Amino acid sequence: MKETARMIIVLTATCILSAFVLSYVYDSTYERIAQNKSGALLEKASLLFNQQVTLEEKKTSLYENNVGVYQSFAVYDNEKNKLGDALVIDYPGYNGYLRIFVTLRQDTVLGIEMISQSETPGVGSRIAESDFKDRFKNKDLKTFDVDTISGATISSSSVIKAVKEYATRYEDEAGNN
Amino acid sequence: MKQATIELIKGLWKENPTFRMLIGMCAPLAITNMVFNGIMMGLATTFVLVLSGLVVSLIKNIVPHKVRIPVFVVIIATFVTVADYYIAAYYPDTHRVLGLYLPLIVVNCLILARIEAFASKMPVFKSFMDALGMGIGFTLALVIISSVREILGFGTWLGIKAMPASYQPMSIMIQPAGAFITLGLIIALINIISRKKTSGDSA
Repeated sequence: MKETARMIIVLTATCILSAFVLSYVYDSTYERIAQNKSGALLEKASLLFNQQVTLEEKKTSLYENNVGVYQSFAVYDNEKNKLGDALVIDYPGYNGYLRIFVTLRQDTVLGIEMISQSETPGVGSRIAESDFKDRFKNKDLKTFDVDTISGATISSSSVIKAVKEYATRYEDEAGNN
Repeated sequence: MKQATIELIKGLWKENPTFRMLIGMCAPLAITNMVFNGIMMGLATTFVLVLSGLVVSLIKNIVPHKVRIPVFVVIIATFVTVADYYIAAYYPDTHRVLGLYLPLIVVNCLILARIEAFASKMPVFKSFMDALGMGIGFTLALVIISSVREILGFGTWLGIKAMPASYQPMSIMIQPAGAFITLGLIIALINIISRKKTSGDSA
């Protein structure tokens, strides 16, 4: 009986101490982690719009079964003039889901950035290189046509399909409202 | 003191966790396609090894034998989560790459093996030296594997250009197969060296 009580006490004490340490560490890093996440988007948007911008999250209904527009933002400059929109699109790639950041000015794609991808290193992962991303710069959605990467056809055409489909649907929805 | 140095040194060569004992192989195979990732993973593992080794060695007489494994795992998991939060806060890019493999340090058998076999039986200072030696040995192994893979697979070392511009990167080296090939060749090389050494000693 004494032995059992000791086991319970030691294990419980270890867990309580662990929870205490973790809550302290969580508190001291939470803000920075959240900042890193939003900061990364803001940095990408500023880069694609070629100036310092601010993002304001908007509601979106184009997200189903982990595919579609995960987040959408209205993009403003420092004087609160609207510059365009920014979308975070999830779409299946070759090895898993791609998360793509797309900036739009009405019907024109300004550019894209990869937020996350798990394509084959050295092959499909070339979709994250500027050589491919630059092909999306200033493309009109009505005449949207981007070349795939040879050797990485599935990965690159997934990105092209994702951008074309969801940017068009997003703009249609925004236009109707 | 001399004993403590022996505990430190053995992790580097004679009992190197990756090349000699072949334990905790998940990380060395998975994240070693770039040197920086290898270093970060090695440091995170060393951090967890040393701190959990210290704590376990301190409380080894209080912990009842039957619940020692759960207690050890809770301690390891605590330090792993601490490392995870700090890397996420201060090195977000690395955190994105290491991703799942950071929380997986909890089940890295290198750590549990050292704690069960060493820290839970030995005095604090010796456990500290053992954990530090193992951690450095592990980091060293990761750096060696990732150096080979990054130089051949990307043509760079720690992001610095290491190969002439005409070099065509071997993309197999940065894929999982490249890890197995590199690891196998390095272990073969180390076996040749250590066999020569032992036959030299006996002669």
